[in-house]
Amino acid sequence: MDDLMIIELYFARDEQAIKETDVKYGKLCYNLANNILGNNEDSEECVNDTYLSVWNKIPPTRPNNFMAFICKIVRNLSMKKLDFNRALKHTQNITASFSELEEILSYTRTVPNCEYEELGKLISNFLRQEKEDARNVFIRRYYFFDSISDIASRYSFTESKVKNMLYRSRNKLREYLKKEGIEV
Amino acid sequence: MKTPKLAIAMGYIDDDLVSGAVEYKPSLVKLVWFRYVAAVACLCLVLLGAIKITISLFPKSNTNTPVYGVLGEVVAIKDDGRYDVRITGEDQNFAKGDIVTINYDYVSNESGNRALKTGDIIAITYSTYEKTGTTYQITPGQIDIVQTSSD
Repeated sequence: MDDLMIIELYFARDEQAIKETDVKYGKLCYNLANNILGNNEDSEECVNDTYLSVWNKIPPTRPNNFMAFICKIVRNLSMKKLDFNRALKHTQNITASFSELEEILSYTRTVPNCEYEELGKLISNFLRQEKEDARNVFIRRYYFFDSISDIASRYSFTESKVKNMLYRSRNKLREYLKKEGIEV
Repeated sequence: MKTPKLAIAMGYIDDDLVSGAVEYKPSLVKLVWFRYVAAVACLCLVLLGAIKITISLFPKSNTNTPVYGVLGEVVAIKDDGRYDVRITGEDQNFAKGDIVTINYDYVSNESGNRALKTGDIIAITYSTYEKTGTTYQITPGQIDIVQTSSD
């Protein structure tokens, strides 16, 4: 079903909206959650919480990009759940992606006058300058937290090519942030 | 371990970038095309190598190569050790009086004396020759001295 039609179902408070969302984006949401949490139960819980959150947000929100809207929610919920699990020592899962991102901007460093949203804008600007291949590989790795092998098979690249692209993009992003005045 | 700031900030990138990464499909035609070209190029290289090795291992047989014989007189010895020879006998490739140049390295006779003198009459056995400007160059198979010069 078309995204606009699904949104209309939400506006009509029709529960079919959730079923259609699950049919269209259920797998995407689950994979994203599972990449972060590495746990089937928690991932399914996050996906269900996402549907509830979407149900509560629409209306009044009318997202222009429904896919990105739902991805953002499931990602945020999964990250929160990961923090929660870590606090309770339920998980020792530290994704490789996190370590790679830390190379660029360590969590211990402060980011003066630069909130996450602002940092997100800067990253967006940086990614727009990148080639399409490199940009999408970067997003698959650090937004969706896909494994190197998954990205390689998705885009028909070799794993070493993916690693190489990510390495270059990280270095370029570090330089870009430095130039924009972000302490790295 | 805390979540890196960048991992959180990545959640705020523009929507079109996120959906773009989900929907993006690299041009398979380009990839397949590139792989085929690479495979064909490798195959060509292997074939060329094989041909070259075969040629070097099994040089072309000379059994069908025509062999000519002609008489000539040494008229000059060049600084680089080659000889200018005037054709004195009948031959289908040269006319009487033509001057041909012969490489010294190919010259040999029964006595093992490789040196020729001006005025020597020699029998040249050859298979190939080439014309450079107005002069001919012969790659002789064998040279025999028929008559040495009177001096």
